[in-house]
Amino acid sequence: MAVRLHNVSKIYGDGAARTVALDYVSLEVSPGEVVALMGPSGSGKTTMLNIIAALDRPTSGEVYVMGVDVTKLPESKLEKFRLKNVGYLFQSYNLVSYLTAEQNVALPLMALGVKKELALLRARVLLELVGLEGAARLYPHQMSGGMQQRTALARALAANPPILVLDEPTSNIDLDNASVVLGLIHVVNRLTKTTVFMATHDPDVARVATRVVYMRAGRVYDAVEPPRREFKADMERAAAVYEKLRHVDELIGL
Amino acid sequence: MEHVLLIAAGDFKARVARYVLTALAIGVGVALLVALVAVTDATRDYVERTLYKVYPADIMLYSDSINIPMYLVEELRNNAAVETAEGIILISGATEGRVVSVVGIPLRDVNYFAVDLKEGRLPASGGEAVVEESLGVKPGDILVVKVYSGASGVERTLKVKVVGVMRSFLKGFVGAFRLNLVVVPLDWLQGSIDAGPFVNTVLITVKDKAQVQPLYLALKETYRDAQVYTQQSLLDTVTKVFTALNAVFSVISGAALTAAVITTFAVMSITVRERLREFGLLKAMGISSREILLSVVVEVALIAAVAGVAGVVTGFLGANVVKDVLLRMGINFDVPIAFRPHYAALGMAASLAVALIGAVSPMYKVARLRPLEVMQLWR
Repeated sequence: MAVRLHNVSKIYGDGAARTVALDYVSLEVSPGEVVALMGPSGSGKTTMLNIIAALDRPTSGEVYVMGVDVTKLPESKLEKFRLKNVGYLFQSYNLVSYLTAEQNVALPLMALGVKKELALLRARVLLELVGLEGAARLYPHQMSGGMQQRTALARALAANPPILVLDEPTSNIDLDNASVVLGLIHVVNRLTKTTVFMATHDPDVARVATRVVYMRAGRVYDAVEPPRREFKADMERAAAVYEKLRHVDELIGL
Repeated sequence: MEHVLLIAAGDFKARVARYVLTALAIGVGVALLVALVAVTDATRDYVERTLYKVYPADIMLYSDSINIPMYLVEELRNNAAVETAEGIILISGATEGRVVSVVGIPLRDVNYFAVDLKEGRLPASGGEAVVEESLGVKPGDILVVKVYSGASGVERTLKVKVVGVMRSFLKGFVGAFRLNLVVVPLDWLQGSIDAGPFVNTVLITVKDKAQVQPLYLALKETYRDAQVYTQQSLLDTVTKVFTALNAVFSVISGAALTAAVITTFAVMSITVRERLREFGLLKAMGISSREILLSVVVEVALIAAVAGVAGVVTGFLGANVVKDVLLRMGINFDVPIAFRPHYAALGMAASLAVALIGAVSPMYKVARLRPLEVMQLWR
């Protein structure tokens, strides 16, 4: 299993302010699955993503990510665990404002101990994957929202994580860029068997998923296989870029 | 480590103006500290060196009355431990409303105090005097001095002919050291004030410095009415004075450094608050708290290093500039201010300490930051 949640609860506050964000949720996800979490606001989608991404701890229950019970890891080890295992794409673009696109993408690799030059090399190939080969030296304020979100996706993929967590990845960008981002998620999943979790309100976005999980009031109500949408992804081009990445990874030892 | 530097450098570039102001605040405090320490050190050294020069004795026997017989001076000269013993009279007097110190010293030893002649010559016979430049007289002038210390204790009037003018000891930069010396032959002074073969001061040097303490104790025991000083006790007094001076200066520079701590705290607090989003994001990506904290420490250390170097250089140069300004204003403060390596160490240490103390609270906030809280605020 890539991820296994067993009787996971998350409760915020107490007394009158007590909020049950997750209510004994259990879920098993195999490697290579694309899971879309759908449901109204406050249904627990983001809480579930945060717990899977090891950004938050459940009140009770077990959370296994890549075979490791992340609830038992101390904070210092969780940081490294996230770095190696989870790529997180936020709703907003969330790039470091004073770093260029390639520096933003290279940062997680450098934090893993990869030399700057090699990290930047991999970053440039990843930017090519997301179609931003000409934007490597641009700062976030010099890029459009869609470019920033694609850069953020490249960064999420930087350390070659087995799990991608995407929190409403297309809600702040235009339709064209949304289509590009979804196409990239599709490509990455197909080529690398990366397990993907994404929270979304948009049923059309959910069609990139292999499984849709409906949530309400902190509970999982339904898990269905949605009709797959065919994205206009250039698989041939992406495969060529991934071939380049493999060469870089051999140099890096990733 | 490269990514830590990348984060630190990136943020530094983005906030360079603010950090320059912080460095300025720290630099001013450091400059003040270095300037005050340099001036105090230079002054103390100068006073100590001059004391050695004008008072080249290991032990001084002093009596308020002129009652130490000259034969005692001879006896002391015959003591196996004693190198030299010089009997002199040191009394105060007044001339034209100014207090003067009249020194009677044997003619053969008139240069005992390393008289620095500005013009004229040393006295060669009774009634001649070499006087300190602070009295504003010139060779050939007649000086009338009233003295009150004598064997009879009555007021006497001395009329001396100025034959030489000497530069002031310690260059007169502190009022207390402006002695207005009038140096005359001892036998003439003894005769003029009916002192007979007596002196009130004996300056003694010993052959072996290890003999200072035993001789000091023996003299104290033998001459209970007199006061006995050693060179070291005078230096201890100088040290005490400068320790007190240092305490005052410490308060002044401490106030400036405290202001620098507050400035650093304010700037780093604002910076950390502005960067909460970024720190939360970095943590969410997996960059550790330790690495993020380290990037802040690198920035603070860089600010401290720049401020420290600037402060040390400015402080040292500033002390010299202030000295020049004082001299131009007619205030005699001609003390050589030399650079010493420990000023750099002190300045850099103070700068680093100020920056780290100022940044500790904001850094604690960074260390405790939980990415999820920031991300929730961000939504």
